Amino acid sequence: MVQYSYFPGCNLKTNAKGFEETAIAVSKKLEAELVEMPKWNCCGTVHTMTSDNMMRRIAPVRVLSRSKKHIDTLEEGTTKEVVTLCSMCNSTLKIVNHEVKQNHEDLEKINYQLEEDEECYEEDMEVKHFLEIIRDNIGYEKLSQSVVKPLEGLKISPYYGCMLLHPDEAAIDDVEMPSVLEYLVESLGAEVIDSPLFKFCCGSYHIVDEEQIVDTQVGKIVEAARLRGANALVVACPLCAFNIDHQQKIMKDKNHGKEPLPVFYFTQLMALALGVPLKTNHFEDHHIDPKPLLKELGLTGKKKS
Amino acid sequence: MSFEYLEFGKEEKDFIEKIEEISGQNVYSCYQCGKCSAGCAFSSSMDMTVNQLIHLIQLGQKRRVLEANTHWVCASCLTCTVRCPREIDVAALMEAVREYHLREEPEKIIISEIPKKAYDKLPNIALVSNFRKKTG
Amino acid sequence: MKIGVYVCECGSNIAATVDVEDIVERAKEFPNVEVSRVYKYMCADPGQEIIKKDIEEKGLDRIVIAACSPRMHEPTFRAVLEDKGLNPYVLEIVNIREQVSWVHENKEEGTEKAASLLKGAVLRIALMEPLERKKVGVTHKALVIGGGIAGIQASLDLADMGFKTTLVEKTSSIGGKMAQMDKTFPTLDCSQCILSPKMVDVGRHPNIELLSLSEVVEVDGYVGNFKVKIKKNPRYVLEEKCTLCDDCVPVCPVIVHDEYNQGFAPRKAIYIAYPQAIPASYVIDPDACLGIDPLICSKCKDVCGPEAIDFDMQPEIIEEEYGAIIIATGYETYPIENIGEYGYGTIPDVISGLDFERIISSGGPTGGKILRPSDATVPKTVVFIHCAGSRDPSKHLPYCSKVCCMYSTKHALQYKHVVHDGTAINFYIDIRTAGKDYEEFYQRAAEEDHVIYIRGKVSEVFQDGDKILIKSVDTLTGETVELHADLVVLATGMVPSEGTKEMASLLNVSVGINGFIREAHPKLKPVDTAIGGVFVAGTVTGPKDIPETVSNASGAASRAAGILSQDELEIEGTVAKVEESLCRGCGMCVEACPYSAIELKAVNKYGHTVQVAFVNEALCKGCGSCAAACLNGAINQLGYTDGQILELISALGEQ
Repeated sequence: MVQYSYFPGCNLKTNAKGFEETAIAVSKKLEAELVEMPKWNCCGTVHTMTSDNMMRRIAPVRVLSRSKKHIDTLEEGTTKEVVTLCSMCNSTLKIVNHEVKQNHEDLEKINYQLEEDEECYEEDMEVKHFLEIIRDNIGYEKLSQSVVKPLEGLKISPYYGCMLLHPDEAAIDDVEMPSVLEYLVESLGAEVIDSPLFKFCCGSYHIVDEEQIVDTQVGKIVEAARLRGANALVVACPLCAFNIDHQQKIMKDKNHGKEPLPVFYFTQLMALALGVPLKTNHFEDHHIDPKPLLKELGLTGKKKS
Repeated sequence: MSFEYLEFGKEEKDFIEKIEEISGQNVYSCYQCGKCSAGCAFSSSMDMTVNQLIHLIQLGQKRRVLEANTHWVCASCLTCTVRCPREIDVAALMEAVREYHLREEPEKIIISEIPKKAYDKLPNIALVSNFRKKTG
Repeated sequence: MKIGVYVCECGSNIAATVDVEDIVERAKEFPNVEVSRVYKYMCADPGQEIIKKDIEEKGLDRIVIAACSPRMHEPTFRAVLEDKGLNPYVLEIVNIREQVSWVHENKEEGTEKAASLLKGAVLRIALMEPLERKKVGVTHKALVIGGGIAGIQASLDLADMGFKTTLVEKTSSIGGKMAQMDKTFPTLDCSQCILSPKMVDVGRHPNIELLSLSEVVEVDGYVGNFKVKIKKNPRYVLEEKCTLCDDCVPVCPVIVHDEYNQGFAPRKAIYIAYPQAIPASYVIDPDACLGIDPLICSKCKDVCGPEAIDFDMQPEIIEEEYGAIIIATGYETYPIENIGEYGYGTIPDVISGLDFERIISSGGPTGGKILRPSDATVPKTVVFIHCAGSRDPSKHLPYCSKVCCMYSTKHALQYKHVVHDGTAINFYIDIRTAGKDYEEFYQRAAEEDHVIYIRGKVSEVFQDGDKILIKSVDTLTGETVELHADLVVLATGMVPSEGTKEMASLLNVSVGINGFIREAHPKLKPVDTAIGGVFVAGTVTGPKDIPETVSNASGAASRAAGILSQDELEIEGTVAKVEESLCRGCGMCVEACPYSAIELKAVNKYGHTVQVAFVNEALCKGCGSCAAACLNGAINQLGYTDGQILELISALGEQ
């Protein structure tokens, strides 16, 4: 068993509990345990793209420093990697890590600010998304060998969103032709439905005050997947998940839209296939309930016939 | 078709310099191919395309740049940044224009006007990122 | 007589629009046809083998091939015939590709046309006699006309290869336009610094005879054997005596505009074009000098220590023979005063690109300071207007002048290097940077030197106080824009140099619709002309930048050397032949010949001296004009005799 220092980020404790619980459950089954780091703070969600704002870089650097300390306490931790599930956190941490490694003056300023927290980052961490751990450390072979219930009948359209692939410094895969979610879905026995809008932005934070922008984006993303025969989407970001899930529901109620497609976190699909108890999925938090589809396909544990 | 009288005085140059300073980008690198606008997921909601906004920055047209909604519609998905043939961090330029605005008028969104139930419903990352982009 | 007919499918190029099987079958019925075959690619080795085998086994003595244009593969198939011992002229190629399949859509019509063309060829070839290729000697000496960078490079290459070369330059110094330029894109090399070593090499190369102030006035002869008359105008200063001491200049009372500095500086009537000029000698401008009549003034002569000045020099005509000629007469800038809306010539601070070269040059009238002409102040805003004359088929030049995007970018960048806080704005239609390191140069101008590019063509400019108001558009924002500039530089297009047309007609080469000399083939023979032994180098065939001009010149030198290195040249057998007994000496053929290949000669006929036409076979291109003009049928075009043409027409007239 390998242990990883795991940085949850805020949403994994609220809207995306199913994401976290399934992730931890499958990480144990795959002998690559995600162990939550102590005293973590919000990464800031969006990375600042200004060159002169050090304030907004302090929080993510503090995370890196604390994760390092956490790793030193892990019994079986062997790597200098902090693992995330949320793709926004992943991108923010990766970019800041890249920036401070390039610019020592900035890091000095930030470390000065971190003195009162008794932290000091020494450029010795790597940020990894759990998908990277699955691909590079666990391997798809081991993953497919662990499958107890192949997800036959699920036609999954992988939706990467922006932050798994952007910018280049934070990309976990080929920026324009990623494959990590495809291989994962195939390893679980589901069918992959490729959509050209796999990274077409969902509208992100506009959900707060410009809902119609999000509706337009979500409408296009879901329709592209549906047209190609998908019966569900898989995501790695709690905000993408919320926008696509929640807004499909709103739009259906508002204008008698088409039957919505349920949205899964990739770890939920893994949990289903690896035989993790169904309740860890927290499907009650979803706005479009995936259970009817799973039931129809005989994937909910209770056999159809 | 509208009309502009172009000047290249101090005000124009200061604006260009400030945007370059905040973004860390060279706005003159842009040769107006338009790939950023072509791939932008939000072009249809913008009153001016991304490359047009950059072009106006190149010309130091501060008033018209700040009047546009382009940089507010931009959600920093970074598709433009990863595809720019001139290695310009286009999204950073959009961020710089937002910042320029917010450093003069810090509230693009009035937080107190957001309905209480939105807080219950929305994911925290939606709120935090929104406030980070729209307030100074 | 045994004729072999071979029809090529050319993949589907021919077969798609011509029923090749059908015409092969029909050909079998034509008179004297021994064998008729079709093959996918006749020009390929297996295709050639089929013909060779038939010649051998069936004893064919005439070959007809229906395929592409004879311009493509006539040499290929002639070699096939020669290989099997046949005369290369008993071959007829019927062009059923360019003239049939590529211009017809209807297969039936295409097939009919191909069939009648094929029949005509079969009937015609039956009357074909074997022809002979004659040989002529070669003068191992080259003439290069024009002493710009193209002529300089071509002369040096030929001279280095060991050929005696005469370089004829119209003005007092070689160097051409490149000598006027300050720096060259994209490397910003100083133009004079890279040019002057080559000029010096020309001046002292033992194989180069440099004739400055000279013009070619007459050209006779043919490939390998041109007879040329060159008029050498007087310099009034003996090159070998002039020590460049400059004593003559201060005493000269005449002041005129200096052409080298685009009129921005004065010069005297006795002068040297510029310090690096070659020949390195002063010259007297006879139009300005008072002292060509020494009674009025002889001040320069009086002070000249080495007694180099000679007012009595006369023009002389030099006659010389050459084996090959290279035309390198270059370009002029478009007369931008024609573009009324841009105000050149009326607004003093609107200048041309070449004007700007002189203004920014450290050897120029301002010593390299950028000062505008009207009030000698430093311009704070400079507008560069691209395509001044170019890409304007309605009023000016239809073509792109190719170098203006780059030199305007260079000018803007040079300006910013001198005036750091200035603003340089390029108004362009498209930015064209197709050359090695050109795109990088353009990007550098924008990125590092903050040169501004606005897409849109300026409509008009006018004086507004001490500034110039620019009325233009920004097509990227869809707005009209106005701004005030202190200086406007027009990116002037290129036109053929003055006298290109006359030079072309002296040498019998043709010019294209834009006045540039036409190459033999725009892609595959870019430095040849339709006239054997006459080559072209540089911008005489169209706008080019310096590297392209130089490689063009080396290409022309190499093609010329291909002739100069021969001792004998073979000339085509298809020439005009006069039947003396029928010729009445009327001379109409002499008039009709575009190549001056025919002259009347006195012969003794039955005791009387009469004039008859005589064809110089080396000059004859086999065009047939004389045969068509001859009222008495006394001239036959070998390979295209009247009898053969009549057979062809009769076949085409059937149906």
